[in-house]
Amino acid sequence: MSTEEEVIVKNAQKGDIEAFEEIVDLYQKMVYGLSYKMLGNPEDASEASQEVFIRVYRSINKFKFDSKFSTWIYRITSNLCLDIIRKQKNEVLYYEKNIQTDDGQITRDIHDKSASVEDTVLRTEKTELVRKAILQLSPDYRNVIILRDIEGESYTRISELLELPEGTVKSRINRGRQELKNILLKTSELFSDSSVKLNRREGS
Amino acid sequence: MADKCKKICDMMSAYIDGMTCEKENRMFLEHIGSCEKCRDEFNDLKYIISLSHEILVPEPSPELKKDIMAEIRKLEFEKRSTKNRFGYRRLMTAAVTLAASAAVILIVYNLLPSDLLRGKSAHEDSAQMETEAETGLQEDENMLVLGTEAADRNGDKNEELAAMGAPYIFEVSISTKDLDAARSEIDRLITDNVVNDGEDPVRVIEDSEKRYHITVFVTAQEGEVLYEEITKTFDDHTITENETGDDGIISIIIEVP
Repeated sequence: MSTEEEVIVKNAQKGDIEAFEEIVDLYQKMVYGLSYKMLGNPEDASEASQEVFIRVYRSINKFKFDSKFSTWIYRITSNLCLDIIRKQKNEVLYYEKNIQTDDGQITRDIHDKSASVEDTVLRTEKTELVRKAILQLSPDYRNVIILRDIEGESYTRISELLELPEGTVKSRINRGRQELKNILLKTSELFSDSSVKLNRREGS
Repeated sequence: MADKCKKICDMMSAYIDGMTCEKENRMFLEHIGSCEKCRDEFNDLKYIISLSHEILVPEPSPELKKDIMAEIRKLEFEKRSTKNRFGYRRLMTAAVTLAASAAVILIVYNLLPSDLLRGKSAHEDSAQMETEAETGLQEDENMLVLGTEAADRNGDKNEELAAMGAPYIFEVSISTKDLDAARSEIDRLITDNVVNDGEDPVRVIEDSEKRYHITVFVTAQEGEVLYEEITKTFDDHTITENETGDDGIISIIIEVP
């Protein structure tokens, strides 16, 4: 941890509210970003981010500088999101239906775009399908896939962040990716339907 | 062959991420070259990973930080006012000690020098002793309450405060839409009356309807004078509540429509 950051954290521990505000400045992007990736929508991400900083505020004196402060906040965020996901488990089915509705919209949207941007649009829509599929992964896989494939974190860093042995991280990444592919094959038309539709349009 | 495919599938991610050794790489490429099923799987995974890399995360809205800080300030305020209340409670108990007996004590002691000057009768003297004994008792009882209420690490400080003449404490809660107007009234009120411990006696919370909830701790020696002053300052507004809590703090709640 940089000394500057250490000073900020120490001041926040003493109850300095401005120092805490600096912590919010430094980490809100990371906290919000991770929450968004884990939970899948801006509303839940904002709500979770608020809760994260409340937790940080309440327990900041428990931070003993034996890890990076960013790691500590990351863990709080990740654990909170996992809790939320586990509570939401019953809503997953509903969410899947939602995706299908979205697909319909995506198809309609594509027809409204001009042909020149179609490739980019399609690519973006595909990315969106992957993002939604990641949200359907079980929490343990979701966590490592987000860290590895969206954040680009190393295996070592992931095992440090999640406090898991590197071997476990390795096997979860592999199984998570396979699971992700299965979800995409099952619930979306990433590899077939949307491109078929597009090709038909191009041909006409 | 199926066994080999499973082995390859198990190491696929490690290969993609460059976590495999030279020997494993050779084995992997050799198999991929000859097994279409594994090659497809490999390409699919690489495709999905490349799409994952492109997932964009929206920036948090500027509201987020505001919301977070509003929550934190609320917590900080609650924490501080509990701390304050506790501090003031002890202070107040000391004040009660004084309030209960101060009048008597002050009169008695104020009389003393002149009495001595005048020379006092034995009768007067014993009456005075009685009064003093009574007030002394009262003080002891109150100090007892003090002792049981708070594990008394600050006993010395409290005695000191009592000796200094502990003040009356008013907790004035004002709910208003016009923060500036309220501020200037409060400023006027507190300049003359505040005896504080160095912490800002004014706390402001803004709620979602843009209404401000201001809490001011005003402390003063002359309780009644201050009360009058507070009610006068806010007299065109509704004073909805006025009570002395268990902690001895006098709460006045003012709603400014």
